[in-house]
Formats: sequence, structure tokens, C-alpha cells
Amino acid sequence: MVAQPATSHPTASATGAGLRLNMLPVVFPTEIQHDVAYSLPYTQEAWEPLRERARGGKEFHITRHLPKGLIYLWPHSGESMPDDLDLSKASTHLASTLPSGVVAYAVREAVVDRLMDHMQFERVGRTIEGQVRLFRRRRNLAAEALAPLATAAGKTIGPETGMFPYIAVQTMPFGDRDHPGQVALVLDVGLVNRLDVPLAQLAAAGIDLVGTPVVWSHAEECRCGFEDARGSAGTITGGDATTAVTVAVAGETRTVRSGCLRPRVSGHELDRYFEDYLNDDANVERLIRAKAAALHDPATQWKMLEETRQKLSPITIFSATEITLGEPVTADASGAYGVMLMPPLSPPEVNLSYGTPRLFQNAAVGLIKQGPYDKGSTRRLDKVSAAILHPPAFKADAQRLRRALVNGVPDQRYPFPGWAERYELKELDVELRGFGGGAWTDYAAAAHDVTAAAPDGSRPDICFVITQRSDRNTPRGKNPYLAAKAPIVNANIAAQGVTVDLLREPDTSFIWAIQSICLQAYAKLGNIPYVLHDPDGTAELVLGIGRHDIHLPGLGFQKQMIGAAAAFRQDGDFLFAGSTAPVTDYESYEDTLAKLISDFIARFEREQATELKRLVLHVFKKTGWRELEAVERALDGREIPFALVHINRDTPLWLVSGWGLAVAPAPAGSVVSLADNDRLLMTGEYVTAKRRNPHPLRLTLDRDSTFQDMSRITAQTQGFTATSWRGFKTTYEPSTILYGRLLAEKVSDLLDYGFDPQRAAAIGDRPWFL
Amino acid sequence: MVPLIARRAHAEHRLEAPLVAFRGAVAALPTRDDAVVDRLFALECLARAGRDARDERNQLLSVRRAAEDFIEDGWEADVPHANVLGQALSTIAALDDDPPMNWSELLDETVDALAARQTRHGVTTTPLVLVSVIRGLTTSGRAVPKWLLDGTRAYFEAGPTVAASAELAEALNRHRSGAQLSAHAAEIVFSDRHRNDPGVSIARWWLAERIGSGAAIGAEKVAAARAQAITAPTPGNVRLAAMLAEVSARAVETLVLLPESELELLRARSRRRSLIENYAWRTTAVMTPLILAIIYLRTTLGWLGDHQPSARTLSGLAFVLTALVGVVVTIAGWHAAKRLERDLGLFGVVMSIAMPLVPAALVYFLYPG
Repeated sequence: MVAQPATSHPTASATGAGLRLNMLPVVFPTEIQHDVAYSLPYTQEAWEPLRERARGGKEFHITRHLPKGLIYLWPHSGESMPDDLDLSKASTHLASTLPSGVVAYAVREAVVDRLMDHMQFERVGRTIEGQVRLFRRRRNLAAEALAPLATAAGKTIGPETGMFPYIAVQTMPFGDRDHPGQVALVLDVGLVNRLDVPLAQLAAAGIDLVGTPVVWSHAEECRCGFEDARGSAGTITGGDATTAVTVAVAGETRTVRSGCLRPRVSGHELDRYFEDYLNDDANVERLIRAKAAALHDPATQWKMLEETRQKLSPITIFSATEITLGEPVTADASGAYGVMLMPPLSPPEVNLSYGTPRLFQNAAVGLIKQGPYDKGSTRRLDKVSAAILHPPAFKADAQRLRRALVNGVPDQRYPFPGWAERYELKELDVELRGFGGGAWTDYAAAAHDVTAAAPDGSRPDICFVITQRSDRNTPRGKNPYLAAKAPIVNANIAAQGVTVDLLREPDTSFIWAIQSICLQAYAKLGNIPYVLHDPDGTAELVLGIGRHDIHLPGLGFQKQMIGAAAAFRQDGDFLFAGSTAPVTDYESYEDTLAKLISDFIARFEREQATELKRLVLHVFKKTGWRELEAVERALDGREIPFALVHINRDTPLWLVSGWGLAVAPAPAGSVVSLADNDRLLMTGEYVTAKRRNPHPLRLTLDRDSTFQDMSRITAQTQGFTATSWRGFKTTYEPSTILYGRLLAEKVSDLLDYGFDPQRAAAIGDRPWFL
Repeated sequence: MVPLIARRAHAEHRLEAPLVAFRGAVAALPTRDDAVVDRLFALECLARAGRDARDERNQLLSVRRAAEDFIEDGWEADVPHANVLGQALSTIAALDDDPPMNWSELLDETVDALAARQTRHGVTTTPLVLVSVIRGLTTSGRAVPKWLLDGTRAYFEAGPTVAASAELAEALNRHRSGAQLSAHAAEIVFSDRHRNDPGVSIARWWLAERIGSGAAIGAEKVAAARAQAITAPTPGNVRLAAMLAEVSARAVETLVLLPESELELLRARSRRRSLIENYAWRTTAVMTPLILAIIYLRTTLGWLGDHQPSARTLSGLAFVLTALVGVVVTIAGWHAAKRLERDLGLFGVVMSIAMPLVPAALVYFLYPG
């Protein structure tokens, strides 16, 4: 019996044509299989006890398939169903009759079983969006990187602390998941940081645990009262790390034995731990980052993928069926497995002139040749008064910034002539404003001073705040840049942070940084450097919903903040239209989405004096009935075509070109169709493949969308990667999503410093959050 | 450099300055890489530049097709289309041709649609777009709508530039609805406050050529602008280059330039000549009766009753009259020399004595008794 026979397709490694994905077709044996899966009618009452009984797949596997209204059960890989499980009322199914969605789930669980049962892998956290991440402690990259330091310090780095490569396991059906069909295994690689040491030990190492997110880590036979709790435990708000700490989660604070918690660590926290442990502040971060960078090399990752594929096969699924993994799927014009290589997109064109389009593929070149988009407009701010806030220690750096802004930076080939000349400003006045001290409170006080009007009533249009890169690692609420930014932004003045680390670079590299600084500063003033041009469009509103995850010690839990940004198509260009809604948390997202869309539509039609002809919603998450309902409510019965697009920047899929193991990320602009509503889009810089992320964006159009031109949606998404205004390079994600995310991030960051979130809406027409 | 109008036949070599300016301007005209609307404007300028710019105008004619394609394919009632349409209407009129039938109505409809907008950037916030739209309307004989006049006024109040103001003045001047603002714009263009704006001389000269140099502008300012424009470096701005191409091409036939030193020399000669002529005529006027009296001395004395004058009387009177002529000539010479700032020196003194006495002595002895 063949569950879903994988037909033979030529591979890119053999032909060199097409692009390869890290999708490994699952090949079932050709002979008849007698393994069966069981099914029971789905009810909540039946589901919960069975799920409990399955113990996360240790006893058996279980999933529900709501379209068919069934619960499917099958044994842990290579074993039988528990004898005491009553299956007398269950139906049996041959694997070949199962919906491919269920087969895909079963394959994933089989791979996880194999990795955990036979290859000493451990799970990393919960399953997120169908992805299981596993790692093993055999290869500790931090230990490898820090070995010389550890030897010198006479210490050892054990497997309980460090940075480890993980494998992310996910499966996906080719085609409709509700009917039998072929499935593929998707393997991704990443890094996980672990500090599996008691909280007391961390506290003793001098790490401030307040605000640290923690996960449950119960010992066997634990009777702490929360022994059944798994996953995130919240954030530490206080207590004694040697005995018990207070943890806030979901607005509730509880006291928990510190032994039942383990920190969920970021890279910075891992660095701090090893710096303390090895008593070396100078080298730890650098060595660890270098090791991590080496692992992120696409060729290295592809090699790991190939090795894993070979080590995994064959995999036992159900009781005794053995499946193998085929060679990575190739996307080409033939569309094997339904994965088809589409014509590549040329680099997006940006417009550098309002009213008389002047198009360039390179915004930086366009700016030199043409000047900014709004230079012919009387509405731009072209007489700029700027202040540079600096503590005494950074006076020389502030002076360098002033010189660069006013006089430019020399270079033999591409000199930067200064902010005023490059952006054709009529006047530029840059004043240095030193202040005493250097603590975050000094920055805040200086920022308050600068927002006060001078005797003649004038205030600067923009403040450059000189900080240092290491300020990023300061505890929440004590960041100098944010402390200065909050009052400045509250006063409706643009703020631009510049680190001394940048200002101390030689001209050859500083010249690139200053151009990005000027670009951001120009945009933050409310001016428009350049825009995405769209000559073939219609009266269209593109709304991006982005997400930022934050830890809120005050509120006590990890929270998802949602930000929204809009772009109006006006005069053939997409103009940033701000964010009229304040940042909202995920709980109220559903309620506010309809209002947000409705407000933007009203504003579009009022400002443009024309009826909206199309609405496109870029959403950071999988779209569903909530988004659909919000859109329909906002449209209020109007027949406006709309597209609900999930812009997935976290897809585990890779897109690579090359032969054998010699791979490189696919060229930017590459497009692969996974289904008629599902595209992979390679974004990023067109010129350099070396450092490009091999993960494409995955664009999934909601089936209920009434506008379904995926080619248009894909090209438009790609276009928005050219208009981030954070730098001249094209970004990984489109600015619609990026802006929503940055807005949410900045608002949540600034809350601790007295920032009024309502200001975000009031000044939303300027990208102050860049 | 100072301009001097002269006849071509008198100074062939001096015609090269306008030609050089024209060639430089043509080299700086918009190319295919530039915006359609700028190329259309350049075509209009060349169409109005006369026969000397015919070849250059023909080379730019392809932009008309580009504009037609832009307007006809994928028309939208938006600013870029209104911009091109307005300028295209003006350019086609300058080419003495008729635009497609519906274009004027299309512009009207678009202007109405854009009037309802409340966007931050629009027709009235971008002066050169405003120029095109107004130009299109006024070329079609339409009045300029109030919202566009208000936008123009707001621009003039906010901080206009000479180049854009010159174009606005010219565009508004085409219809009486814009006449008042056009005059205001012309004042801005020729005001001292804007004398250092980029392209000021070209804009002034071009505007004067397009709308005529009225009393408000002043011929001297136009002349100065013309001289500066034609000798200044070729502008980098494609629209200023188009303006210069237009006016310099028209000036090839009429405009002659001289270096200042040469002009001063010519002026000095002219002054000298006219002074000498003046004194010569005056001297002649005084001398003529005296000479006639010498010639007709007997007759004159006869009229006075002495029909038989003695030889001594005749000689004596001839001596006196001749000496008087010499004195007149001497005085005239001294005055002329003084006005010409010439020092006659000893020679002058000797001649001043000799001039009355020598001829008088000769007449005394030789006068027929």
C-alpha cells in the first residue's frame, strides 16, 4: 500500500536548474501497508481526556480534524496502541485514505519521535504554528567558542548552559490538506540559548532577574502546586532567587519556588552570564557572535539539512511503516509537487519626484540625481533647525556629527555633501547642546530642556541624541536614548539616536552610516525622501498590521503589541499615511481592527475625494475569520475588492540556488508558487547574495479574499521592501508590516519613560518610530 | 558686459555670443531620461524660438507622442496626468496644431476632481505642476479656477522663486482671469529681493520676451538680464535651459555684444565726433558772416554809404575781420580742447596767437585795393 507515493522528479542538484527548497518529500514504501490509524467522532468531551492520555505523544499520537469531525489516533512510532485504551468504537483507516493534513501531522510526530527516542534531542519550548524545535546538548557552540577563555579561567562550560543549534521540524501537505495527498517534511535550523541553571546561581552571578521571562522546569515528582504547568511561566517581578520568586503572568502575580523555573534567555543575557562566569567582558560577546554567524551561513545550514535528512531516513511511522525522505524539492517551471518557479520580479522602482515621476531602482542614486520626492513642494520642511544632545564625554562625537551633517563626509568616489545639499534643504542650522552627567536621568532632563521654546518661540525641528551602543543592554526603564526620546516625541519633535560607536568609525564606513541617519531624519521631519511607484494601480489602500513581543515587568507578562501602518495610493505613488490608531495589545486587536480599517477607508476617501477601489491588508499572522469579519464590518456591505494577506516572515522554508551542497540564497525577486494563493518571495538586496537571509517571505492569501491576483499582491509586497526609509537597502519584510512592528516596539519601549501612547496617533503621519 | 543694439552688417563677428548661448542651452535641454513634462516644456520653448531653433525643435517632437501615450493609456484623474496634459495642450498650441478633441474637457474634469482633494501634496503645493495646469487651462481659453488662483497667491506669499514665478506669470498672463496675479508674479521676478535667485537673468529675459517688457518691468532691467543671461554659464536646470534656448535663438538675429572696453572706445569716439561737429558748426556759423563780409567788403561799405573806400580802409577792415575769424576759431579750438580734456600746451598758445594774426597780416598785405 502506498500512502502517498512520491513520484520521481528531477532535482536541482542533478540539473542545476530551478531553485531548491528545504522541503523533503515524504516517500512511503510501495508495498501495501497494513498499519492503520483510528478515528472517533469529535466531541470536546472525548477530545480532552484522550489528549491528556496521549501525554504529548509519549503514549500515542492524537489529532483532530474538524472538517471531517473526527479525532485521529495512532501509536507512538514503532509501538502499538496502549492495550488499555478502548478503541472498540473506533474506525480504522489505512494511511492512504487519511487527509494529507493528518498524514503531515503524523509524519512530523514520527520525526520528533525518532529525534527524541534515538538521537537524544530535546524539545525547545512549545509547538508554535505547527513547528517543533528540538536540540541536543552534544554540540554547544558557546562552549566551543569560549573554550580558550574557559581553559584560561580554569573553568568548564557544561551542557546545561550555552548556545545550541536546533532543528525545527514542520510538515506540510502539497495541495489540499483535507484530502489524501503527498506531504513534505520541512527542516529548518536555528540557535537556542540555554541557561539551565538554578535562578539562585544566576542571581549570584550578578544578573538582575527582575523582568526576566521564565519557563516552567519541574523536577520529577515535583509537588510545587503548579507541577502541571508547562511552557511560559511569566516574568519575575521580585522575591528571593534562592527560595521563591514572584512571577507575574496574565495580569496575575504568584509566588513560585525558584527551583521550578528556568530563565528564557536572550543572547544578551547569555553573554552577560558568560562574561560574569569567565570574568571576561572584552571577548565573550564577540566570540559567541562569530560562532553564531558561522552557523548562519546558508551553505553550512544546507549541509546540516542534508546530513539530517540522511541520518533520519528511514523513519518509522505508525507501528511499523517505514518512510524515507526524498531529495529537496526543486521549484522549476514544470511545477513538480505543485511547487512552481514563477518569473522573477525585477527590483522595485521608487519615485523621486512628486507630480512628474522620476523612477530609479536605486533610491540612493535617485536622491543624488534628482533630490528628494517632495523637493518641488511648498509643504515640505526645508528650513531645518537641529540640536545635538550630548553628554560631556561625547562632545567630540557630537562635533563630528555636526560636521558631517553640515559639511558632509569626503570620499574619493562617493563623497557625501552634507544633509542640506543632498536633500536640497534651503537652510540647516545645527546646534550642539551639551549637558552634564551621562545617566539616563540626565538625558531625560536635557531632552525636557530642549523641548522648551527659546525666547523667540523657536524649537528645534529635530534632536540628535548621542548615546552608545552598549546602552541597549541597560535594564528596562534606564535606557538613555529612550529616556531622551520620550519627552522629545511627546513635544512633537523628531528624535534621532546616533551612537558614538558609529561616530568613531573611519570615514570610509561612517559615510554610509551618515547617509542612513540623514535619510531617517529627513523622513522623521515629515518629509518624503522617495516612494513606491505604482503606475498601473487604482484607488488603493494598503494596511499593514505588525506585531512586537514585549515583556512588561510592571504588568508582569509577555505581551504582543500590535501596530498598524497604512499606505495610500495617491497620484500613482504609495504614500505613507501614518497610523491613525494607537498601538493596541493582542487581546483588543480583534475589536479594534474593524474600526482601524473603517477609519482608514474614511480618511482615504475624504482626503483623496474618490471612492476606495481596493483594500489590501498585510497581516503578520495567519488570517482567519476574525480578520475577515473585521474587513466585512468595515466595508459595511460595500463591494470593494479586498485581499487579506498573511505576510509570514518566520516561515521555515528556504529558497536556494546552486548545485549539490554549494548553495546560495536565491536571488532577490525570486518567486515560487506553492499553491494558487501561496507564494514564496525572496526579498532583500539585489546585489549581494552573501549575507542574504535564505528564508523567503511567504505570502498566503486568505481564501475568502475577493481580490485574488497573487501576482499583483506579490509584486506590491516586494515593492514595499524598497521603502523602509531606515536605509537605502531593500528590507526583508515590507514597510507596511515593518512600520506596524516598529510602531508597536517604540510605543511599548517608550511607555516606561512617560510617553503618551495617544501621541502615536497624533503624530502618526510622520514615521517617528523609524 | 553691456549690450548694444547694432546693425548686423556692421558687426558679423559679434553675433556669436547668442549663438553660443543657444548651443549651450540646447545641450542642456531635457533628454529622454527626463520627465515628459519637462521635455514638453522644452518643445514649447523651441517652438516659440523661431526658425533658428527649427532643427532642435524637430528633434524633440517625439515627446509629443510620449505625452499622448501617457495621457491616452491608463488615464487617471491625478496630478501627474494633469501635469502632462496641461503642458501638452500648451505645447501643441505653440506648435500651431490642434490637440485631440477631448483633452480640454479631460483637463477640466481632472481639475474639478483634484479640487475636492484634501491631501498634503497636490497641484497647488507644487509650483511647476500648478504652472502646467494653469498653462493648459489658459491655452484652452479657460479661466483659471479660484482654488488655483488662491494656491498661486499662497505660493507667492510663502516664498516664491524667480524661475517658478516667471513661469506662473507667463501662464497666468494668457487669460484675463490671471492677469492681476500675472502682474504680481512679474513684479516678483524683477524685484531686487530675488536678484540672487538661481536663473534669475534667464527667467527675467524669458518672461519679458513672452509677455513684453512693460513699464512695470523696465527696459533697463530686461537689458541687464539679457546681457547676464547670454554670457552666464549654461544652467543645469532643464527648464531654465529651455527658456534660454528660446530667447537666445530669437536673439541671434538682433543681439550684438561688445566688450566694455571696446564699447567705451566707441562711445568716446562718438562723443568726440559729435563735440567736434558741434563746435565746427558753431564756429562756421559765426565765421560765415565775417568771411562774407570780407569777400563782399566793398559792397558792404557801399550799403553803408562809402562807395569809394580807400585801399587802406579796405585793408584795415579786412585785417580786422580776418583776425576776428581767427579769434573765433581759436576760442572754439580752446573750448573743444577743454571739453575733450586735451591740453594744447605751447603749441596751442603759439597757434592761438598765430591763428588770428598770420591770416590777418596776409589779408592786410594781399587784400586787393
